[in-house]
Amino acid sequence: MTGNPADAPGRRRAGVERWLRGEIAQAARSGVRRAIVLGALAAALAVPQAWLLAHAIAPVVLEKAPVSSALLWLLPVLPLLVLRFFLATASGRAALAAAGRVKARIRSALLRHLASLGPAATAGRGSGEAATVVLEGVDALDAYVSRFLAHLGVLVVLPPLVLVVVLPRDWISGLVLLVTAPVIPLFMILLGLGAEKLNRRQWLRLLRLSGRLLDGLQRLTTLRLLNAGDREAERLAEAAEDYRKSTMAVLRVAFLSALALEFFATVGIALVAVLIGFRLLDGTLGFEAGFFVLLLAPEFYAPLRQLGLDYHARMEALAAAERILDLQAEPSMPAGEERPVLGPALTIECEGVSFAWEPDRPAIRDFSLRLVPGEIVALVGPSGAGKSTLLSLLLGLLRPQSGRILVSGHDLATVDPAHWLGHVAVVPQRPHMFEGSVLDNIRLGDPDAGLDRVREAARLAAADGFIAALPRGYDTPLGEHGETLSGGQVQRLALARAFLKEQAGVLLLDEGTAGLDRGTEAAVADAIRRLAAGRTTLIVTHRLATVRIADRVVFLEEGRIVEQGPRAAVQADDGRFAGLLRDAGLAP
Amino acid sequence: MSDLAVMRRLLALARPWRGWMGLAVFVACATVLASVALMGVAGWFIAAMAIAGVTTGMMNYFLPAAGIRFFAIVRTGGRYGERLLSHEATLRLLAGLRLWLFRRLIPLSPGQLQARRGGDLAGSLQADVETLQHAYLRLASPVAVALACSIAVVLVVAVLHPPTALALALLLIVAGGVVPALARRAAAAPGAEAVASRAALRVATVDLLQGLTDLRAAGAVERQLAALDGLGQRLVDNQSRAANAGVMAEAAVGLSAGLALWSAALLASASVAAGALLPEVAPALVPALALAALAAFEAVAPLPAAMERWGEVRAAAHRIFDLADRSPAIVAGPDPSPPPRDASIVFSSVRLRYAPDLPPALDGLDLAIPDGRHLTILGPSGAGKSSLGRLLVRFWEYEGEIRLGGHDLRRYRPDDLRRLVGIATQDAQLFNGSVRDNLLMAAPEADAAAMDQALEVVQLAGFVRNLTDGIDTWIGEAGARLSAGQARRLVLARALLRDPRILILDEPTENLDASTARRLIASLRAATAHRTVILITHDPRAAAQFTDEIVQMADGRVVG
Repeated sequence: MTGNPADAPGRRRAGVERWLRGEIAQAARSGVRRAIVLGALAAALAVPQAWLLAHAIAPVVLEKAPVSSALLWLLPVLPLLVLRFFLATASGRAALAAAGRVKARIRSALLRHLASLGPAATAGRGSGEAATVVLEGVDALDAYVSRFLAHLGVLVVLPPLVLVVVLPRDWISGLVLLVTAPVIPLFMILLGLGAEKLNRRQWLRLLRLSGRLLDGLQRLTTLRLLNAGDREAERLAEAAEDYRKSTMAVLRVAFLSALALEFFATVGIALVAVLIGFRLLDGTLGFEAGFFVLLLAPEFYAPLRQLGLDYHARMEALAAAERILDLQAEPSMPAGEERPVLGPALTIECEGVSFAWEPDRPAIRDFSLRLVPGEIVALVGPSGAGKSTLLSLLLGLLRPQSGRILVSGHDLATVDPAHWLGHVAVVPQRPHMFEGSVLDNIRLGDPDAGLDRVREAARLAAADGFIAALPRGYDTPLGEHGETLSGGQVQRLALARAFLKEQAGVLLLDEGTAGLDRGTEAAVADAIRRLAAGRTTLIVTHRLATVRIADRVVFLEEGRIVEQGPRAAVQADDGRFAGLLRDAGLAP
Repeated sequence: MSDLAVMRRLLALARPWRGWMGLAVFVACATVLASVALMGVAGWFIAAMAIAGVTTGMMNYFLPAAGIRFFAIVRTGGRYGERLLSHEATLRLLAGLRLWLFRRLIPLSPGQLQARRGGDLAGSLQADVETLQHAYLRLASPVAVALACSIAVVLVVAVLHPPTALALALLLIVAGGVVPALARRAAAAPGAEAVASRAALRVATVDLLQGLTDLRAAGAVERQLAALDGLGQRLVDNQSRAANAGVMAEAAVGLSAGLALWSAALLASASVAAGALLPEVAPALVPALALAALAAFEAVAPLPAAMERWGEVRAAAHRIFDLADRSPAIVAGPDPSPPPRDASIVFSSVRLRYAPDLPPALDGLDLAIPDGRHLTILGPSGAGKSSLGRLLVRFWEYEGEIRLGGHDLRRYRPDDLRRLVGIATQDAQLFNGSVRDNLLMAAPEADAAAMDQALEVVQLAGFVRNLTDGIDTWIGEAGARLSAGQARRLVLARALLRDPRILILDEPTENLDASTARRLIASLRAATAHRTVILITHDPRAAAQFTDEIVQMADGRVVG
């Protein structure tokens, strides 16, 4: 171990910020620069404005000069104010546009990375969680660009400019500003570091508290069933009370940084005012200069106070960036690049294939199998036997850790995944229905397919009957906000998708465990037989009706083949067949 | 509900914490006013000192210098105190809001919470509660502070110099009222668009992630990614357009503040020259008024951002009130439950419909189950088997008659019924906690022996003993660390522990291997010898082993 482990999060943060800066430079360097320059110009106008005001008021105060002489100095202030308004607006707009470009770029790259991860993208984490990073996570970066970075220009320009004009007129006030200014960020950093550590712990607590409410809401029915609603309410109240106490203890410390900032800014202004006052009384300073300096003193501290506000925006953005980087750090599988001519008749050979999701928990062990055109092979086994993992391996979504898969003699690991999938008709365990119509969902792979072809595919998949009964037939919307279909209906739409992919020489099908009634079960089995005709076919199934259409049955248990053979032969031994089916989780 | 009505209800909800919130607002006002006073006194002080310097050379500077010190301290301490108090108030409010909502929802579940099909009710409620929590901190409090401070500053300035007060009041109204209102209007359309495109983007993102295999097989990944890029671009465009209104508003408040400073300087100067002010204090008042006018805008500066939130808050409040205002369909009557004569159940012509546009789940069900009978119900999914249990614990209202223990089911108080009838359902959930927590949730008084016995019956005792912390082992979010079969048996143990006279078992053997299933059924049979049991299953073997009688259900009726 090198270095102090306690430093690790801080160093990581620095790396995250470097990454974010790099992305910003790539996406919107000129936009950010424009925002900074325009913002700095707007802020700098405070100096001539104060100068004009001091000159306007001085003769009135000291000599009760007529208003006309004041007006002479006051009139030019108006265009300055208007100019400041336009510059500030333009700076803000530029910053927002830059932030938009940064968000679009990072989001686009993140989505592409997630797509390249394959099924691993959502393994061990809900797709909802990944979607939250894509949406809210990326949005949280906005403030880093549109506030923190955009305001940096003001911070860099205004305080030094104020110092430059104040020092020659009134070096004592200049000295007060000079001394108090660096103390502010120093204190903030010191206190901020401690507060950040506390903050993170608190953030975790808040998540847990939110989780508690969510837990309770999601399980409301069960709570009622157990007459436990009131007990859970009491616990919720206790948790919230605990959270309040611990949070307030943290905030009392965390807000000290704001207190320090406020203290030095306020004391600075007060000190400048008092010191100016005494020198005016002595006559060692002119009123004009004194008032000018007093007007500028708040402007001097304003960017520093703004920095205090932006500090939180920056922390939130960096926390979000960290989550984005976590996702992007997940390695995607190296893809093969060969695009061999595979021909219409395809064979698949698994040679001693092994795969483990976790090192000591193999999902597939030394698996060998040969699939040839025209033969339907049914793969059965209890849940957790490795059936779905095997299918992912055959689809090229996973790569064997030992052994290899040959497709018409080519090692699948070297073949371009998109090229390979072009030859495969797939019906996954839980086919996904996308936002869009029934029609669009069936012709997902071929958006130009006409209604006639889609209808024919649906008919072959035994789906046209229920589609016709839907409220708007083939135009019925599906997906999140559309019609909810039963598991069996979804499966038949996925079969229709597969029928539409006429050129595919391979059929890989995972039946899942969707409950079907007898009639539907038979219709689906029929459709699968039609679909499998002439193709190289592997079906993962839990249904007897599907096992009955298979030419060969393979029994899988704990990642190994425990029995295989032609269906007729296996079936001949009645008792043994029943036992195997029962062990595989199929009712005999 | 109008905006005003929503606001009134929100304030009424926050009533119990009005002391804390009032205190937070008071301290915030003191801070802003101290800030204005600090600048005003400082301006007056240096002008008076300058005048004294060129005239008498005499000046009582102790009082104003002390004033500057005092206001500086109030401003510094006030800022700290205000932040602490407002967070204290918010956290108390947050706890109260959550509890209020939770208590309101308990009697509504499950029947009246299923209106939003497919939507994640719990997740959206959670987000809405958080939005409301911020409503007070970032909306109500800034508005109250702006109003109180603006009025106070204008009144004080009016005593010193009415024309400046008038100009200041007008500009404060522009900056705190007109500008935020205009900004809100400008941001409304793109803001709504942004919400819509965000929803579309979320759906498309989840589509991409969940449908990745389908997309790859269809060669449509690139197409989906291109569509996502388009949606993402639309989102950021709308976000920028909405935020541009805020940028403009922020700059407009700055412009108003500058104009206030300028007007105060001009108007006060004119009065000095015209001799309209007391000659002794008049000239020093010019910088004082100018600086105080500028500082007064600290009160209204947060308003544009605060008003921007109103739309979001209103939408969240609407959704929450809409749910919380539903009156429970099934409420306990005033009378105590009748003592059941036995554990028999009789359904006569029972009909149940979950929604008007859905086919009936039970359609004239007639079924008599004598006391102590073990009955199995077979039938395809959707036959109405699981609905029986939901009616017996009064989760849904029904037509027809159900008699339990010789009395009409509706005469029992729902809570008492749930003590009499135990259900181990397919969709019952486990809680984030230990095995013990989950068992205690069902029966808080259960002792170790009772828990062991229940685990023994469901064939989990050995498994639990071998866990690292035994019965105190954390089973993860919704029992994620258990297999499906184990989770189901823990739910079963939970139901047994409550010692109900009537027990409904929904597919207890699913996800179990054949030998475990056999053992489970045998021990369940022994443990439930004197109870009335309804077993719902697909497994004919389990049915034959367990029950005295088997009935078939289809289309919401007994068919044989």
